[in-house]
Formats: sequence, structure tokens, C-alpha cells
Amino acid sequence: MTRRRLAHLPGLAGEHDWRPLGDLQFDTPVLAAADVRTVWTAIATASRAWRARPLAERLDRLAAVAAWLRTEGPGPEADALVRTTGLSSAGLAAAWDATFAPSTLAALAAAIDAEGLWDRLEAPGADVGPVVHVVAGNVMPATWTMLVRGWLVGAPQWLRPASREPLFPIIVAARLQALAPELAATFAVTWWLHGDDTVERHVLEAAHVVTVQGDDPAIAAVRARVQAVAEQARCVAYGPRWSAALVAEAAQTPDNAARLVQDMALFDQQGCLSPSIILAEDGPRLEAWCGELAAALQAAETRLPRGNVDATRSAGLRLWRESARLGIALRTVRQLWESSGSSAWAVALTAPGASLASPLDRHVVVMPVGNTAGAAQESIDVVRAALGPRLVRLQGLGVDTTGWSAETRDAWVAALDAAHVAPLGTLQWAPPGWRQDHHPPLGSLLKS
Amino acid sequence: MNASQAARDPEAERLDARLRDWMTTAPAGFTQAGRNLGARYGLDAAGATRLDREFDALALDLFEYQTNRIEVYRTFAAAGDRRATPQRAVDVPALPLVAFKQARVAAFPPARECAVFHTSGTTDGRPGKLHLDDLSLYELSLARGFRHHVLPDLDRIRMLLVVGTAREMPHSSLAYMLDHVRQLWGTAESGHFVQDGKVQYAAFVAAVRLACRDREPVCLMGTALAWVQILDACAAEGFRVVLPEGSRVFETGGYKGRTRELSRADLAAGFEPHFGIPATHVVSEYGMTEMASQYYTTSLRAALLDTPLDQAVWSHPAWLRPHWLDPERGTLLEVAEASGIGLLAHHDLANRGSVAHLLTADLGSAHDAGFDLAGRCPQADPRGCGLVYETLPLVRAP
Repeated sequence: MTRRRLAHLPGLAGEHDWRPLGDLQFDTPVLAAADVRTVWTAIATASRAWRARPLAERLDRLAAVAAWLRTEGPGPEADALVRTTGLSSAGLAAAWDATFAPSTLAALAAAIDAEGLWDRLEAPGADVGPVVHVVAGNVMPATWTMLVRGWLVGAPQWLRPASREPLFPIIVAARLQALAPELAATFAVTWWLHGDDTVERHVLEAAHVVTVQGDDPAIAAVRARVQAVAEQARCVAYGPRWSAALVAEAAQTPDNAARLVQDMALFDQQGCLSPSIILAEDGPRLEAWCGELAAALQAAETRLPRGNVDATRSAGLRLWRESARLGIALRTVRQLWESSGSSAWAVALTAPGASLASPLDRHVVVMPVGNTAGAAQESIDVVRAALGPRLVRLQGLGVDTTGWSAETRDAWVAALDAAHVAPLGTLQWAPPGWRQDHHPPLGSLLKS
Repeated sequence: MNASQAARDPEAERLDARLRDWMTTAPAGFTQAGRNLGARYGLDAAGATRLDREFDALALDLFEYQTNRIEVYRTFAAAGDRRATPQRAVDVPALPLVAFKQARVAAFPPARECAVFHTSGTTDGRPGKLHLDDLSLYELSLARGFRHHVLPDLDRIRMLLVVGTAREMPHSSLAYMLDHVRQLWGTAESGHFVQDGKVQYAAFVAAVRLACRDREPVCLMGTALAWVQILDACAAEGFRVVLPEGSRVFETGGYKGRTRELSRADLAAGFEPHFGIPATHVVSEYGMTEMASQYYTTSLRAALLDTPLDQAVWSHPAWLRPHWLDPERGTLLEVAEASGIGLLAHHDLANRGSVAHLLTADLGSAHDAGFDLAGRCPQADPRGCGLVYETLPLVRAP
């Protein structure tokens, strides 16, 4: 396989040195301070021109670009993206679609509406500065949504892709150069080593805002680095999160099982908006419904198969299953459904109030919650105790509370305090304006 | 510690007697290179088949004994799709080690308990506990395995132990083990160099110098964590001696991802510059609190007895067998049938009083019909005997 150069550096002409990126077949550029300044200047100029357009025109253009990218699909880059994302071919196609589909004109307008920014974003743009995005993981919307938000506020953006999946932003940049050069000119993409004193330092020095995605140690490391080299910059952290679903007894239908599986199968449960714990109202149908969930996961193996996992991850899934079997012996788990002869999927139904974390990769935990009518608070307290400190990291909540009163539903949603609440089957299709980690998505990029 | 308060289970007595007889004569470790387990024990084909049959028979009897007495194991063994009666040892369900944190895994009533060992790794504040009603199989397994791998050439040796005593750490299986081998084979000049939770570096160095003066070989014994600390201190202070020929190191415990890590090879190589002990004379042990038996590396035995041995795989006594949980298919395999990375299970027949077949969170890579360690499962708790020593301050002044 030939090595591929990973960089999108508007305004930078001429040759530079390259160095290998990890053990992947990619090279990343070695940039001097002057190179970085040249790129920042070029993308700042292009961003001012972009921001000078009427806001309505910008929204139209962004929505059209997203629709175009969605329709075009990964195309000839599909095989390369299958390798870097770890998704199956069908999974990649679905993930690509789910990445761009939510960026509709209505959703873009709603994002501005939600923060009351129409007047401010119509103005020339003295309230934005350079934005750096440090992206983690292999979930494409994490990259695309960040870029869209930057375009909405008109910021010049420099994106450091995840080392595991560095390809997607480069592909987007290449596509935009052909389709929307005015957008391609507003952002740069380069990978750098954390702590690097050439590229990273110079990129960060100019930043007004640095968004960083990752686990707690990674965020702390980037935050410390930003404080050291760019005192003026504000760090907006997106930490590790998980999602859940809340399903009333009357909503425990085969259709809803299929919808939930769609939420789980997309991105192979690697995204923070993929439900890994289902809070399901306890009742006589619950075990049968878990069986329907298992059947839907099995069916998804044909339609939307999980990508390959390496032996280490597979071993983690196997150990989790054996621990769940132990849970049956200890009466903390009621029943376990699992794929036979593979690590493809599993469903563990816990005892009420018992806590079990999901190892992801389509391994889901169903926690029964008590009768909600009149005793909602008591049931909520049981769930809060079972989830413990994990609750503060809840990102998304898929909801179908058919048969519950609005008051009961609201009490649950308020208690769980997820950043994003959506109907089952649509949790992963988050619009650009969703309040990821409870941050205002556009306001957090603007000067206060 | 009130073992006399409850009557002994006659079935336990019968099993102990059978196991004791077998463990007394069965191979205690590999004696030569070979392409399969039997050959490594120096057995011909008939001998290897007989050994397999004996292991299977004891394993199946233990399974029946343990599932009849340990409810959590009985229920676990019946859970899911594994209801068929095991026909071979490898078919016996392997209990995840986390069970020892969550339940009392013992085939006898509390009144018969004579010792409890605690694991050190915890995420929820609860250690795992191994309950014992009899230490004779535990001690027999330890003695035969240790002698075979660490002392194949001497009847006694001066032992310098960088672990606390069993009196200081009554629930540490490592402290118990090393106290026991010191009693069996340590000379009068042997000593412990952890006191009040602190590594007594200055006293340890003085004891090393004394051994040099006396021209008497020593066995340095401690956890990998403690050795990293000591080697770092030696490097900082420029400490260098050449211990008398025949000196050796016994290291155990791993790092648990909690301190500066050295590969096993790098740790082994670290003794030569400071103590003059070649890497071949460093024996690594792999075991866990929940098991009575241990695995060992073989380079010392190979060097001392001038015997070719497969040094890339762990040696083990005949009553302990590694098994392989295929992570994708979920089936338990003999290591000879396995390839690539898998979850390690250990079938330890000396675990009569708890559960013999245990599933770990350790990854193993299978090769040459043996295994080597390949890290830990993602999200597994750091655990093990060595953990307690990581944060121990080093006392350099006498």
C-alpha cells in the first residue's frame, strides 16, 4: 500500500518535509512557524470573506454542501475509511449518511435560533477568532459538526484529526475544494504530536478557542498545553460520555427494538450518542422485549454488520459476557442473550437497581425501572443510585414514554439531565445545534 | 481460624488424599524442550496420555465436588448455553476471578476456615478473597513448583526478601508463600527488607554487600514493582557489586499499569549492572491470589542444569494447566489448539477448597503449544500482589 500524505493547508505553497503518522500508512507534514502563520493568515482571510456573505446565503450554501456530500457518499475512499474507522462497509455507508443528513437548512437555522444569534452572526465578524479543534475517535460527526459550527460563526479553523482515524477531514477538504472552494479555504487540517514544539505550539499560539475531545487525561493534557502556549485561548472540552434510552412498558414493541438497534448499530456504539443502557419499565413483557431486542441485533448483523474488532477488544467483550453470566448466579443479572459463536452482540437484563456498565460494540444493558405512576421519584432514585457517578456523563437520551403522563416523563428527563433528548431511532442523528456536553454549540466559539 | 469447630467433609479428605498422592509424583515443571506438554515434562506418548487422563479425572471430580458445595459456581456453570456435563477438564466452566470479590467462593463452611488471602487490586474498595480450609495442597504445590524452577541445584540459599513478612501482612498470599519457602530453604542469614510498609533499601544493600563478603550466593526475592524502585535507586547511587556465582532473582507481581513499567526482559537485564546477576538467572513467577499454583520462567533451570528448555513459554506443574478462551467464538481450548490472542483461564487442581478452573482478565498469546502474557483486557482492574508495593516509600538512610 502506498503511503498517503495527510494535510489540508490553504495558502501554503511549495514543498515541506513529511513524517510517518503512527503505524498507519500516512505521513503528516513538518511545518515551520512561518508556514503555520501563512496558513492562519490565508484561512482567516477566507473566513472573513465567508462571514461577509449574508447569513441566509451561508445557511443555504452549508445545507446544500451537506446534502451534496451525503448524496455523493464515501465513493472511492470507502475502503480506506473502512480501515481507519473500523466500521464494516455497510456501517460506513450508514455512518456517512448519518454524518451529513442532520445538517439541513432547518437544523442550521434552529441552531442559530436556539442561541438567539441571528443579529450577531449577520454582522461582519469581529466576535470570532481562530478556532482549533482537537478531535478524537473514529466517529465522523464529531469532526463534521465541529466544522459546521465554525462555519456558522465564520471562524478560521484548524483541525487536528484523531490519530486512529485521520482520513475523514482530509476527504471532506478534498471534496470541498472541488465543490465549495470558499469553504475549503477557511480551514486547515494537520496532525501533530501532542506537546510538539513546532506545529502544535504555533497553531495553538494563534487560537482564540480550542475545542478538545477525548478522555479525561487527554483533555487535561491539551488544556495544560493551551494554558502554557496560548494564555488568551479558551478551552472547550468534550469529554467521555455515554447515552441511554428510556422506554415505557407500552413502548416495548418490536418496532422500537429495531429503532434502538439502529441507534446502537450506527458507528458500532463508539459515539457518545449511542445508547448503551436502556432504562426499561419493568413488567410482564420486559423479558420478551429483550428477546426482540436480541433478534433485532441479530438481524442487524446481516443488514448493518459490526466492523471487525481486534482480539483484545473481543476478549474484553467475552470477559463481560462471562461476568454477566456470573451476575446471573449472583442474581444481579436476570438473563443474558448473546450472539452465538461470535462477539457480535449481547443483551444483559439486570435485576432492578443492579448496576452493570456496557463494554459497547453492540453489547447493551437493559435496566428495569419500577412502575412509574405515582412512584416515579422512588424509581428515579433507584436508577440514580445504580448509575452513580456515571450519571453526570450522560450525553443522550432516546425516549419513548408512551402511556406515561407528561409529568412523569418530564420528571425522568429532568432527573437524567441528558444534553440531547430524541425519539428512539433518531438519537444519533443530532443536529448541528445540539448542546454537546451542555456547551452552547455556537456561543462557545464566540468572543464573549 | 477455627477449623476444628466443624467436622471435616469426608469427600474433601478423599480428594485431598488423591490430589496429594498425585501432586507428589507428577512433574513439577518442564524438564526439557518439546513440541507438546508431555514432551516438555519428559514423558513418552503413553505417559503423556496417562497424565492427561489423570488430570481430566481429577478435574471432573473436583468440578462435581465444587458445584455441589458452591452455589455461585453451580449457578454460573448452568447459566447460558453450557448445560452439558463436562467430559474433559477443558469443558469445565471457568469462573471469572471477579467472583472472589462478589461472593464467598468456598466449598466449606466459615467455621472450617484456616486462612484467608486478599487480592490487592480494587476499584470498589472490596478485595477478592481466597478462603482456605487446609493449606497442605497449597504448600505442596508451592514447594514443588518453587524448588523445580528456583532452586533446582541447591538445598538451601540465603534469601533477601523485599516483601513484608506474613506476620506484617497476614492476608497477603505472596508474603505467606515467601515466608514458607524461606522456612523450607532459606539459610539463617536470610532476611526481609520491608518493614512498617517501607522498603529498607539501605539495609538491603548492606545485606547484599555482606553476601559478597561471605562469597555466598543469594536469592533476591520481590515484586517487579519493588525491583524497579530498587534498580532505580541503585542507578541513582551508582551501586554496583557482583554477587557470588549461583545468585539469582525471583520476581513476581507485574506492574498493574501503576508505575514505570519495564518489560520482563528489560527487568531481567537490569540486575546484571548492579548485582552481577545475569538475565538468565532471573526467574519470573506468574500467579494470583486466587490460585494455589504458579507459572515460572525456565531460563535459570536451563542455565544451571545446562538443559535446553522452551524459554518463550511459561512452565507449570502438571496439576496446573492453562486454557484458552477464544474471544470470538467463546469456546475454551487447550493452548495447543489455540492461536493468536485469547483470554487466559487456569485450571489449578490444587484449588480444592474454592474453584479449580478460573477465568482471568489476562491476555495470552499462544505459540508453540504454550503461552506468553500479552497484557490485560481493556477496562480490567489493575490487580495483583505487587500493587501494594508501588506506593511504598523507599528508605535510603539506615
